[in-house]
Amino acid sequence: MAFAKRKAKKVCWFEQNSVEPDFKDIKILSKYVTERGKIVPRRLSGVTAKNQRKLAVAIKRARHIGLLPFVAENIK
Amino acid sequence: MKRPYESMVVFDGTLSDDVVQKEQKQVEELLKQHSAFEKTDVWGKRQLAYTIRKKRSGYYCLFLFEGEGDAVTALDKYIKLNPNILRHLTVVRNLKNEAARAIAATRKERALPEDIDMDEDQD
Repeated sequence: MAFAKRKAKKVCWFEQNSVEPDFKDIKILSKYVTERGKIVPRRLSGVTAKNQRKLAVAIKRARHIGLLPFVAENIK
Repeated sequence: MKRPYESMVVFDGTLSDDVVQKEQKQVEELLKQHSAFEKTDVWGKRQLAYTIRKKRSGYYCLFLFEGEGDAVTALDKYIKLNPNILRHLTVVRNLKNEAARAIAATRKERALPEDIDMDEDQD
């Protein structure tokens, strides 16, 4: 079957905990950025559309005040 | 309209502790004048994610207060004129979310979201 390798659908962590993304919660936010510092797309993280919008704002706020990087160059 | 605000202020991390404390007091005094000041959450010194004005570290404080919009204007004005403040961010507090967080924290040890499989697309 062509679709045999499809993985189980991921569940949104924010829905599970009935909590909304917050810019102060860097521990959680850093799970939703790649090692380069990009925001992870919904199709990979399984976050609901509503929470993804809030997550994006939260990550951008965290970047502004220097809690998260805009670009992480010192990897590799 | 009165609203609950939270304001995160990042002081220059190269300043000495007493200077930072004095600066923090000044912000608190200003907020007390213009609003119902609640409290300050001191996060302390942290590494910045990137250099800001050639500084690698900052001293983080979160001020909680309730007031009108002009309290925020006054705070912004003060911060703009203060060279010891690297960054600031004032937003309306999401009280519902804070309550939900408090409940989630007591219910059980809040597990972190599991790591995301990034193999689908790479940089």
